[in-house]
Amino acid sequence: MIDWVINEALKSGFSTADALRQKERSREFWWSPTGQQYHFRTQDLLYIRGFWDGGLPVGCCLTAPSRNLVRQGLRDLSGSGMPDTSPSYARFLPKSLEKVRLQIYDEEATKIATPDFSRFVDRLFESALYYPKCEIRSVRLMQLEKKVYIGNSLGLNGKYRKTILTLSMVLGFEGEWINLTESRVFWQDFDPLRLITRGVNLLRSFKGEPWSGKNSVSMVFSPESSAMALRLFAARFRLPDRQSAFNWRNEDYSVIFPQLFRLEDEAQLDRQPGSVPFDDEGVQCRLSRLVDRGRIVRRIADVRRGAYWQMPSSGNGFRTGNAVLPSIHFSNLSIPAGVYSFRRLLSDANGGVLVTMLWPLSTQDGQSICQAFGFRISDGDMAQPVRFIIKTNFPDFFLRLQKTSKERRFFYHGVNIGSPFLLSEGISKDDVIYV
Amino acid sequence: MNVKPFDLYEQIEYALLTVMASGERERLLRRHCGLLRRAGNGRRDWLSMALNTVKGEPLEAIHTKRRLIEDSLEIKQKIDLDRIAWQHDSLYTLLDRLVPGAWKVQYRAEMNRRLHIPQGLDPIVSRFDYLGVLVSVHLDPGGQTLEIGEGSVRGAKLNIDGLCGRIEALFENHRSRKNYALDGPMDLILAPGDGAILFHEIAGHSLEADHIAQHQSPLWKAKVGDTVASGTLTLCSGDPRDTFFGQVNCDDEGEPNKPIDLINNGQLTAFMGDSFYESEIEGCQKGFARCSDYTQVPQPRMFGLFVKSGTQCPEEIIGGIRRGVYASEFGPGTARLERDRFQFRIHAADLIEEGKITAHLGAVDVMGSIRETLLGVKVVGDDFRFDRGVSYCVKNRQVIHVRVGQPTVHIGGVGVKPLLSS
Repeated sequence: MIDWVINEALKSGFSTADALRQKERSREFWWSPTGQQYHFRTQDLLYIRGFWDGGLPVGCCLTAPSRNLVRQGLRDLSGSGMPDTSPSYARFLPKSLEKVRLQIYDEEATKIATPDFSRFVDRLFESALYYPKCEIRSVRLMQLEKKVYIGNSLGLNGKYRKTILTLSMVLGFEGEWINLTESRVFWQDFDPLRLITRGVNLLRSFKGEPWSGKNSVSMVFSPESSAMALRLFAARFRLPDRQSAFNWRNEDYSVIFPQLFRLEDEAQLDRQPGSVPFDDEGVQCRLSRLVDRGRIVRRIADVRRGAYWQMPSSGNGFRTGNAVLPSIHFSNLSIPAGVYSFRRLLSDANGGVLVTMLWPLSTQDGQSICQAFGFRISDGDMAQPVRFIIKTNFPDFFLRLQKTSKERRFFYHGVNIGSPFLLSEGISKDDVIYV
Repeated sequence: MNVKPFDLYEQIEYALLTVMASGERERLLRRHCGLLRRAGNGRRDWLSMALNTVKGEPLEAIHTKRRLIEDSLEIKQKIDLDRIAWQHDSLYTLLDRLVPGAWKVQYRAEMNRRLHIPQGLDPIVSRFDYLGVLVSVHLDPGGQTLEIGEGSVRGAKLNIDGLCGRIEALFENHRSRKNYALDGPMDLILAPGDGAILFHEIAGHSLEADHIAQHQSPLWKAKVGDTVASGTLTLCSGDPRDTFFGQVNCDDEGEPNKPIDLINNGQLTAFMGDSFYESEIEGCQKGFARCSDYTQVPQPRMFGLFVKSGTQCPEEIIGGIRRGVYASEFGPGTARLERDRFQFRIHAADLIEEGKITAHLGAVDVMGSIRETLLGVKVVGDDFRFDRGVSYCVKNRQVIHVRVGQPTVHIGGVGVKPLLSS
């Protein structure tokens, strides 16, 4: 099908074309005290991108594409007027792909049925028994199986298949409520007890007393809170578009983070929902080290923006939501793990605070204002819950980073972001902590 | 539980043309056609499939339905975005003068046909044709991106002169903005029209039945008749004068969507739900099941949310403010229902001192407690206006068009943070 589509595109007058076919099967299970719901969905999408000798490409997305639909779509696209005069970036499209073996497909996950889901809900309830006053209001599991086929008129051909399981749950504890979400590739990677414990800890911290700390106090940031900080600031690691007058080159290669701080985007991690062998343009994904020894050394790019800034694509051109053309997105953005245990970080931060959750509230003067929830650390253990507000910017947030733990956890909300526990000697003097 | 078999056939045609400051143009097209089926097994089981792959249904029957959608509903009548974009030179000239090289204009045409077939009843046809324009500009290097737009459902008509005037006013607001310390709760005046998106987020979503049932809403303990807002506030889900969803004849379960009062003079009168929640929650009305397309399951959502007019004229409202903020252009916002908090970006705000607008503030964030803000509505004006047709709503990753409208509204005790502090 892909080869036929590309031939048709060339016959329609395009000089270069690529096509991506995405077949999806998903099952969604809901449980709530008021009843259960089930949704089975199949989707067959074809994305075509046609390049002229000059200007930007045109694109279309068709459901369940028949030959007639494809011909009609190509006719409509090739008949549109008003060409622009910018150079075509078709010559930067990839020509070949290496074979990569990745653990991103779980046969067992494709066979999940209502009884499996019911058993899992039972296990969640059993785990919740460890925490009296813990209440589950709803559980929702989405199982997605995706098969991707790609090709272009330069000779590229590739395919992969992948599963993603997303579990979300509304959990209550002592009158506080939270919507928890976790994504995994393998069904067996869900741990009900760990999920409940995570939720209860977060909910306990919501009841914290307001705390007006000193900015010199040591803080341990949980993987969830540092993943949120990375999410807030990650946009600066994308190559900017040409409309943005942001002078990013000035920032590169100057030391703006501590030596210890490293940041990577790695699409070829086994068992991670953000992993893929190649992106939606057929560019082979590799490890992109974004920050090394405190310096920004790379920014992620797709073919189009890479061509504009005369840099190669990093394999980060992905379609999300209803997008017809790919744009720049992270795959597995993470801070690499260190060598220390979580216990060691807690004892080093004695008298400080363990931050379990950060919620962005606002931005002011280019700084992010976040509500922080957590626990005081006393005798190397979690003590009373506290909440406070941090106003900080990205380099400052990580400026006093001292140690990282050896356990790294990922959180997937469209983008998969991972971090270990981070020990920070407070936040920098320019940042503000207040109630 | 009242669950009947139900089919929704849908055809979507969606075209996007982006005109960029660099002279580049990007054209995109989406065509989808599919089926959403609710099983008749007494449970809420759903099935989504592309229309030419429906299993167990003869191909002839599928083609007949497809032809019914395509032919009788004139899906083939296309909106020529190239021609529309060609006519708007005045807009590009203005943008080149204000932000050379740092803008883009997106034209979006959408034609959506839905054929709802409830079991044993006649099919109901809904159509939604939409044309919108969205202007994005980068204001300062590495800084804010502002979006401002217009939308229309009545043919290919856009108020480009009005849009140019708003863009100029927005730039003037930012160019001559002054830095003021605005910490602490303040009086907030929302301009008529688009300002109601704040009530959509904080009141509308709080009254959706799924949020109530899952204890996610700050109003989940409230009962019909309870006071949940200030006595000056009346919210309703529809307005007979509005034609935005005029050709959408039912919700996505085939139930008629009748306008109802949700909050009447501060008292809770109804929750918004679907056929499932109607029997589960007291005071829940069905007719609010919506899905973004056939691949998604309908969930309780709003079509419209309107603040009913009060009696005071806007000049009197502003004249009565000692120190407050006037919000005229609205950006995105989020509500954390389970934490009773909201945060909203205002793209253009002015400072009111002693009853007069005295300075521009540029963009500000407003935030606060949902319940306190609803109770803090002080005055509602008499100058009702609908939004400009670009309001949309995201819930559980489903994006849909919504309609809002309100007169000038005065709310007390809202947190305001300028994006640039003193």
